[in-house]
Amino acid sequence: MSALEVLAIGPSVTAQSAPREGLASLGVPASGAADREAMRAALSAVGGEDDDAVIELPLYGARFRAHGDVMISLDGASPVSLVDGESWSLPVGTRAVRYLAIRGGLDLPMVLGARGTCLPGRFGGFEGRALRRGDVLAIGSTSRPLGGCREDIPAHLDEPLNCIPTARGSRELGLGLELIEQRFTVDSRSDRVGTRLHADSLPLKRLAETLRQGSPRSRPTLRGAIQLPPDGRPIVLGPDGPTVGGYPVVAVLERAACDLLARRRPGDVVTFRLASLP
Amino acid sequence: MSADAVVPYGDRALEVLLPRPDLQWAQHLARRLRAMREPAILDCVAGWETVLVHLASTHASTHARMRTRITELVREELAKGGAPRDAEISVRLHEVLVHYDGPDLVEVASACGLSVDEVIRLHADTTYVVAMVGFLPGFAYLQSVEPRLRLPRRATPRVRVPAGSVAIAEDMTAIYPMESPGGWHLLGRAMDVRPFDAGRSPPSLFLSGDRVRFVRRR
Repeated sequence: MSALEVLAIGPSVTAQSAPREGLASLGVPASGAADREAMRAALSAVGGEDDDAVIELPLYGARFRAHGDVMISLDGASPVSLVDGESWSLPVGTRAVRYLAIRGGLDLPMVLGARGTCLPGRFGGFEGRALRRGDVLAIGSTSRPLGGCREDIPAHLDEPLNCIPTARGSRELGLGLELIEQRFTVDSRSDRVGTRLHADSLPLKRLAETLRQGSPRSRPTLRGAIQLPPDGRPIVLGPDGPTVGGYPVVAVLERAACDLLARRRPGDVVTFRLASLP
Repeated sequence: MSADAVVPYGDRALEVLLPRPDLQWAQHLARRLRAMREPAILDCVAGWETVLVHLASTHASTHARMRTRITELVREELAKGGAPRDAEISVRLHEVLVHYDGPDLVEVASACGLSVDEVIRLHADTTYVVAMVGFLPGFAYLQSVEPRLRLPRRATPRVRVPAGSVAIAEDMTAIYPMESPGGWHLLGRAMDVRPFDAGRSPPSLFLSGDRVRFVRRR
């Protein structure tokens, strides 16, 4: 059986897959790939199944070594074949998160409906944790044909993110303008739990205070929810975000916009656009 | 009685807004929604004042159809006279053995003007209701903590709260199912209990509506 050995990686590299659905009432976040489009492209290029796991590589470089013959694709690019002992390094890119798919899939068990890691729950994926140097990931086998390749997934760094105001958000006068007219930047403390947005906005701070007085109780929430903490700096919940949140949610990103946000690095600009209600 | 509103929550969920906070009603609605076994509904989560319904599709037609169905269901349930009382539904009771040796015990006692023994007695003498499971897999928000024990969250959350920690904040108490950051006050450690186990069905030990009692280990 072939395998991939981790020679060097940054923090928070995890095995990810399609999300875990239907367990939010037990406190289990959906998890899954932060950028589903890029993950699916990578899986397609190596002939992977929809529920196969890939390696999610945020922000930093990474180096792996093949044990046996291994075929890989980065973000859906033409597959590369590595021979036994050959190493591979992640090339520099503009997107915040990259996906390495391996032909045959990572040999990881299905746990609660998915193979990916649920970091907050410490289960799924590779021992329920982020990968470390020295980990050896076993690879499965497949006879499926290779799928289509994509040489480039655009980052769409200038694209405003479509969001739909919640009942709470649209009730508060001026929310549209305050959230929409603002230019935010991605804060470096962002992670899979949430993307923190930075802006010095007094109107948003005032709005946060108004919303806070309205209702102190936590509410069920999900990925893409734009929370407004008292400091007026929004947090957009990520795939590992909690299923219940205490901060008011003013709007929720459209599903496709969650992928776009996942591609932005700390310092990148984020703007919002109000989408029509479905 | 004003009808509950069903509104979009992004493009893959609907939020049922209750006219006033009513946990039992929310839990009842969530149970009824799950019982519909509607393929377009992936999940229903009850909160104090909302029920979040996760949808399988982002299509406008699915949203419209589900909005209508959920609105109808809410109306029917309202017509039936609201949530059934406890006597009419099965209630599970969990007894959890606790070693009261938490790092915040003394601080909590002094902040509440009580002795450590009184804090333990007040905490263990209450039967709590699982209001919601969230924040972490298997993390049950248990209500209601005795009024004399109510404190705001810690000013600075801990980076690392050990798994099994029994904690309080405001009118709630909880057991941390796994190590995580946390801002609640730690009173002790739960013994012989696994609030979350991915290999168990269901993986969460505590489910909304269950009752929990803490028993002091001597």
